[in-house]
Amino acid sequence: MKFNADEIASVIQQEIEQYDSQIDVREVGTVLEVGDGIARVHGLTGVAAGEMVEFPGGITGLAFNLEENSVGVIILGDYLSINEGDEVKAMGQLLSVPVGEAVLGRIIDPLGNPLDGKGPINTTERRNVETIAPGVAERQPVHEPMQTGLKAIDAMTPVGRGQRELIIGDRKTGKTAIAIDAIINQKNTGVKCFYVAVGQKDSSVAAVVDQLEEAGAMDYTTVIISGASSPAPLQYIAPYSGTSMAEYFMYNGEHCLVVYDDLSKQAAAYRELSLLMRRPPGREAFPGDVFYCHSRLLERSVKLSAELGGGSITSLPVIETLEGEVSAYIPTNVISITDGQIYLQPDLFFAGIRPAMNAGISVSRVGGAAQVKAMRNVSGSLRLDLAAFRELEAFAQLGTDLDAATQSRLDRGYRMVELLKQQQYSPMNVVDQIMVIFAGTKGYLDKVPTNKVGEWESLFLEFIHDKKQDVWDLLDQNKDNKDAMKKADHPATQAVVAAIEEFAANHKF
Amino acid sequence: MSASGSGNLAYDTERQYIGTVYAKGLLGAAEKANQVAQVVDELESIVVDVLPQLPKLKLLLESPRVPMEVKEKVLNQSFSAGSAVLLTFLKVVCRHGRFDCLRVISRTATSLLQEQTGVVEVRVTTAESVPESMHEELKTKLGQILEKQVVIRTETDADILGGLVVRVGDTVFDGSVANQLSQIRRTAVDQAMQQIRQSLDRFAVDAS
Repeated sequence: MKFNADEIASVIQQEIEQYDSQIDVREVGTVLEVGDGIARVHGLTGVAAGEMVEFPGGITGLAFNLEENSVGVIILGDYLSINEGDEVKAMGQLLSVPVGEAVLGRIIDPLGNPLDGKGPINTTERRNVETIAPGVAERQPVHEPMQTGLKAIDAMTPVGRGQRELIIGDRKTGKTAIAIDAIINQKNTGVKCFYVAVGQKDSSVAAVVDQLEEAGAMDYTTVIISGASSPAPLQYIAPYSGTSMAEYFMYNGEHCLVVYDDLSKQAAAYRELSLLMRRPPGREAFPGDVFYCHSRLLERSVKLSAELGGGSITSLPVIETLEGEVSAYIPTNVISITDGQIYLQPDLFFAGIRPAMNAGISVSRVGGAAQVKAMRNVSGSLRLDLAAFRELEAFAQLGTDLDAATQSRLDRGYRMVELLKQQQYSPMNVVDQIMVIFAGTKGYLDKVPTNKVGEWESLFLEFIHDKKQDVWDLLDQNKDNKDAMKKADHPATQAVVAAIEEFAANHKF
Repeated sequence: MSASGSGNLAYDTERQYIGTVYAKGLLGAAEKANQVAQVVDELESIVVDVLPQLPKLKLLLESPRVPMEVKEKVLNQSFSAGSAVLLTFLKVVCRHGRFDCLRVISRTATSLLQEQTGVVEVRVTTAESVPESMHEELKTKLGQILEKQVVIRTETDADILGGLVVRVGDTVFDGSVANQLSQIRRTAVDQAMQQIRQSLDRFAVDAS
């Protein structure tokens, strides 16, 4: 497309003609010292905490510390171009980011500047980065499911819309993989996704974006990046600005999924800022309000009441532990804030059990109410059964002779573990999940050798989709019926059992 | 008070704490002797007129290696013409080794005194130097608006092109031509961008 320069010039001329000169009144201060992403400013007597300030060259900052004789400012940008003695201007407003449909499919920094080279973010709407979470009257209990597409999670630690479910584990245990699968699974559901990458290697973020693009998930996803090379202030505000962008959709009655990957790095960035600002260090040198830093962020993940449109933000914060140490400061804080956690263990991961979720200590404190009813009917006792199986397995390793009942429980357990394994980037529909878990828990897999369970699963699902689509549709319609897959005489249960038996008759393993 | 000069000095947070303490002490002592304005004026004169001219005197008084007796003698000889309160104060400052803070003390004392007497200092920047009569006019006008007695410090800065920049405390009232031009530029560009976004067709030309 070509542009008409005359037309643009006429608009500008019109603006100049209509320009109404006003005296610019501003509060100013002087930079005393600058470095490491922070500046100390003299003056700015009327500035408010959290107010935006502007340095020469258009670099913005946030008033962070208000002291008797100076103001501590965190610099959101390149601090190397700021000099001692520069004039700092208070902007009289809080930090805000662009929001709206235009941010979807974009890769942006925490201030809303595009990083993907696809031109400016085409929106005029903005939202404050720091907002207060909705109060009690503006919420309702979590009751709709947010399917992650992972059998192990949807069956054992279901996530509801508006829930905060922590993903916690050591490095290289598949934390990000779970979050990415959850995003990919939101395709065609209308859920908007936000992936906030804090303090990550830019190469790994690029790999994530690549995967999302390949899966066609970038159409409804925004990636907010403040990588390992970004200054600490940007890493600190990234989760808040991601949440602001999601809130725009939530208050318009839509549903969002926000992944904070990861909050341990954000806490480290906040610690860096606080120490530079000479705030007193506490446990592990974190400042006293690091709990508030995370709680005020995660409190903004909400299921809104019906009067406010019923929108929701579901969040999946990620925390990296060191050597499985969940009792460190930040992990315990975030565990206590969230509505449950998915705990990933390296030994499971390396034993080939992926997702490497430890069923015993992973919980979902509200998700049960939001689970698809048919899924709850087939997987109700799965988590406890698996935990019991782990105990029994440890006992059986002692080599004692086992009675037939114990042996059959062990065999069932091995098959369930096998069944809950899932390939990366291949989230499953909930109806498929219900069928295979039903087959596993009801003992239809007892005749299938353990190492063939994966093969059984793929062949069975192929069989259902190719030849028994009517059964699939019937279960899909009945999945929210409280008797489906529970009572043997329910039509959906009968149809599924018949299909499994027909499949078993035709396929020998 | 001099009409221009030491307004925009580098600010030192640590010395400021000390300076405030000494300035309050000085004002208290001067009040007892009923010579507040005179003492503050004299102190400023020492800081602005004397010490920059005689860097060696400053070095001597600041140096910890020079014994106190010598310093006292020098002070007696140099400043005995001034008020007795100020002389004693300078000796106290010397004895505590805080002579390096004298500039901060003087500045703080001046601003504390202004605060007490309801005087406000206003910095006016113009593109070219303006006649004294205009200062007076500005002074009365600003005095009416701020409802305080106004002391004007003037500066010239060719970069503002024209108009007036008035600074009261930390608030700047910027009526300069440079600022208005940049405002026009910003609004014109913003509005044009917005209109282009709203209706691309209006600005498009047929490629053919």
